[in-house]
Amino acid sequence: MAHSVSLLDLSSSMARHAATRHSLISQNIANADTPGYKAKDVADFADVMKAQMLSGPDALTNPLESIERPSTGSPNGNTVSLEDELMRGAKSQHDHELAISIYRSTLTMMKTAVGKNI
Amino acid sequence: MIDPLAQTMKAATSGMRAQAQRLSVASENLSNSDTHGYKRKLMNFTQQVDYQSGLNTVGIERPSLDRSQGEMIFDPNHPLANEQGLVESSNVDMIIEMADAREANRSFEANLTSFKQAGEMYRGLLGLLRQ
Amino acid sequence: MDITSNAAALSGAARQYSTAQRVTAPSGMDQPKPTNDGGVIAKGVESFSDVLKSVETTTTQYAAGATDAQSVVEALANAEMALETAVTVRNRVVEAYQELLRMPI
Repeated sequence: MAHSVSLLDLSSSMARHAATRHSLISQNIANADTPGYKAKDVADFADVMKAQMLSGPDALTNPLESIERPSTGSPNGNTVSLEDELMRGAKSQHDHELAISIYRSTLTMMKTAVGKNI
Repeated sequence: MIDPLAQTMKAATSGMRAQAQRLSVASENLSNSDTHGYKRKLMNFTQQVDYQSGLNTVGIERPSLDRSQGEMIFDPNHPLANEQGLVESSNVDMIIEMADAREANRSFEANLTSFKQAGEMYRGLLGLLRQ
Repeated sequence: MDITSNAAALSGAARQYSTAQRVTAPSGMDQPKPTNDGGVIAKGVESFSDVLKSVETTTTQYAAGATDAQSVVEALANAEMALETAVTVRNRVVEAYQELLRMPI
């Protein structure tokens, strides 16, 4: 049961990370024409996990903090590329779906273990 | 902890509103391209930050005017003609306005896609509770 | 019968289950091993009212805008899971008791 619970925690974190990333992407898309706006993102989930494994769970104060993606901008200072954001948006949605599916499967397995639907 | 899905929807709707306004300004300019002395309107987008949640939406300020001079046409019989017989036409370039309208449409669709994706993600979450 | 009194009844059932387990263990086994499923399930049932309270708290926070929808869904799914566990434990305890009654003296 301990393994199942940590799997729930993991998929829950993945889902939250994907939702946060998708939110920043939609903010980038909304501000695609705003002069001086810099495109925002969160650190990759893999990097967050690696950092936590190397230096303990209290290493990163806020893994979901928004960082600025380095990219050259258009003449008015805007660094948003619409195609880029759309592609990343689709990927974030899929990551979220995957995390939720893992969560649902884990719950179903635990329920079966307890004896429901037998 | 703020709800990222709710934030996505707020940002996407602000984007759609801004792009719809941009389309409206472009069509206004286009319809007045033959009006003598007409100055084309310019959209001003601003970034609006909600400091509590960190949400970046986009806002629209009042459209400004492009005060550059339009082409001077020789038409001495026109009531607005000056001493040399020249009348100022509008400073609207139809090609620029149509390109702007197309861009506005594309950006609107992108914001709409964001919005729909957020809705699907939310539905997926609720599907966890369904049997 | 409301949920909290049900929860208290189930907690009582879980405690009797662990006691019965210790009593009916074959000789040679002093204590149930730490990885014994009964202990974990009993712990889960005893904290069932805590799980319900956390659902209430999370939902109130969401209504006030202080947490995200995912936390609410997770709290509800967790409560559903805890309820399943508690109901199963209660059923097993009842079965075991009935079996005990059938034993010839």
